Amino acid sequence: MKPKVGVFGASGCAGCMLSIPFLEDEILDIIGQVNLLSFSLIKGRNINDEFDLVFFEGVICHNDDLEVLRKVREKTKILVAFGSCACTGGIPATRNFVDESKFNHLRHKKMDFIADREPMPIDHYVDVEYHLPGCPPSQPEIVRFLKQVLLGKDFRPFDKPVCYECKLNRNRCLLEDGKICFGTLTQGGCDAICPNGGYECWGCRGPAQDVNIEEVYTLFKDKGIPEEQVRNRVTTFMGMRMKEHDKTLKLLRQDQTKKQETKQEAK
Amino acid sequence: MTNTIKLNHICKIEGHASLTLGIEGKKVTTCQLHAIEGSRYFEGLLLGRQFVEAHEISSRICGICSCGHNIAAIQAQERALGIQPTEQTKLLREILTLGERIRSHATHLYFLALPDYLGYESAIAMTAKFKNEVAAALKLVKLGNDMVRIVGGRVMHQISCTVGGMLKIPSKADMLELRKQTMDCFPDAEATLKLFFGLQYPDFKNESEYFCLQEDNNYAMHSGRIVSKSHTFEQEKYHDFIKEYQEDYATSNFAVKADKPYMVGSLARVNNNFNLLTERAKKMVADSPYTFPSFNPFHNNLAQAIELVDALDRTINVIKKLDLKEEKVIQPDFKQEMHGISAVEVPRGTLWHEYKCNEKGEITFANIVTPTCQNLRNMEKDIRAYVEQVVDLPREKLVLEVEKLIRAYDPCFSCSTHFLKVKWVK
Repeated sequence: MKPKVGVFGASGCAGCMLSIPFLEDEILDIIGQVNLLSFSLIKGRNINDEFDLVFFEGVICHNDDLEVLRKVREKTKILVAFGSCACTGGIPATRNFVDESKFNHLRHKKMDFIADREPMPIDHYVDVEYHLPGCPPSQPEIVRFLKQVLLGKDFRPFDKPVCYECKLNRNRCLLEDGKICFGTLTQGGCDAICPNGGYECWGCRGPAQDVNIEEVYTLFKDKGIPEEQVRNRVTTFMGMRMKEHDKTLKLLRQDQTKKQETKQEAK
Repeated sequence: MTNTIKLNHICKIEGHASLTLGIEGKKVTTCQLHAIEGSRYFEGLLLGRQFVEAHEISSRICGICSCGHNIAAIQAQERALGIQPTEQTKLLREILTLGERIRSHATHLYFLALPDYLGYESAIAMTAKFKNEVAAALKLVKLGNDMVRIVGGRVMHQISCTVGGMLKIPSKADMLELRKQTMDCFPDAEATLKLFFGLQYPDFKNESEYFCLQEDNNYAMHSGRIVSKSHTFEQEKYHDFIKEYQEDYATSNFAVKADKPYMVGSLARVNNNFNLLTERAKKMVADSPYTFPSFNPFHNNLAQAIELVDALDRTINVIKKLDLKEEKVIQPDFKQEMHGISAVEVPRGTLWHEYKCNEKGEITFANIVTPTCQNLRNMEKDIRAYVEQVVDLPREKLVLEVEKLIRAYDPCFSCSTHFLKVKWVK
């Protein structure tokens, strides 16, 4: 029997799930190997049965998102947090570190606020079997993952930072140019695709193992880059993951949580 | 008695949306298109960030239009900073926009729209019987993706574009390869257009105000003035025409001109700029039973197929003009408060980015208006009129027809979900 597969999305840009049909050379083979039950981006008839494997994209930032996630979790053997938003909260979760005054004016005045939640990665609410990080996830990694998992094997994520892959590719080090490059901080597996294109790593794949964030702040400070700029950048893709390593971020987050709680009590 | 039809989670569109329809007798009393995406507050998250970070962050609004958001943000910043990008930079960005248009139109036409017309639930279900069509679709998607990958460095959320230039210049060999690949795809693009000329579109007419960019000698993508039948204005003047607007049933934007809806996208571009299409595209239309301007919103699919042929021609022309050489990125200089606006023709229509920054180079204001949020009101208008025309159909068929109309617009609800409301006042 072919494994039953689903692709679901919470709030996001649909870029991660589009990365699947954008595997033009492999997509027909992949579809031939699985029973694609649900993928509402490209299918009209979607069956919510038990799943062997589900790719889940997006950040949980309103109640509907959470409802879908919980339902899918119940029925799924292997749930994959797919892409930055699902793995780390991605860019939307930056909001968890900034003052509400920055985005309050964007709230919908006529709609009930209750539906809106603080953006969280999906493993904040449910257990997941695998993370495939990245904004977007690396396409070769998606294929490698599928090959392993469809064969019933375990998938092991790449265990070295982006910097390691970047060196192998013999790129010029962007730190030398005074760029805020997070290659040293970030989990690899993307083949250092951004530095390959001359662009600094923003950390979209989340922190690597054993990061030393303090050392990184010192490094940028020595180059004359204000700490606030560096910290803003850290929050962009991996704030929710880095707060355990970065005391200031942890405090910022606690501050925001406290404000939310006070507001809830006032209600 | 009111007969209420609710379509929850409409499939084969980008993002999440649903529709509530109230029908009394043969009249539509309610028509509400709900975007049910969570709010991501991009325009708020940009505040206080470095000006030159805007394009990286705002490209995440949408996967399929990521190049468009990226370029619109960069152009707005460059206009604010008074940076004039080089001819080579402009041409490379054109390849990105064309590549994005090719992959987006091919994806939409074959995977989202065509199954409706052929009576399948998805393109996957079509693969056995329509092998050649699916192969053509994947070939065109691959061409578009390769264009973005070679020039932009990555298929999704490209990385090479930056304020003042390109971080990496593709090699001449890559460009030759791309030219060959584009030439190889002409039969597929032409077959696509012929296929869409051959489909049966519902007999439905509902004239809209069609807005898009226009230039005198170019099928405008990145610059020009905004035109419709009765309006012409410069990009910088859009605030004179647009004011904020909110609905209580949806989390996305609605843009309305003098409380009248308007349409952006392929059909608007082909209707307004038909004469500026390439000769091949124009000739294929002339040999078909169709003429433009067309007031049938279902013909947006036709317009996309026409633009597909046009985009391939245009890609060859751009590659011909390119004589690639290394160029330095022009560095921004922040001295005072600055303000920039840019409109870009992305696959689904005119996309607006506007930013202000202070003398430290920090963003103090960001406003982004996406094509789908401009089209929502017009979609509702067309749904109302179309439902009244086909109201006698059995319910299941009626629902499918409505979905078909929504999909013809190629809406993207990922993009349209943000809270700055827009209203036309003139």
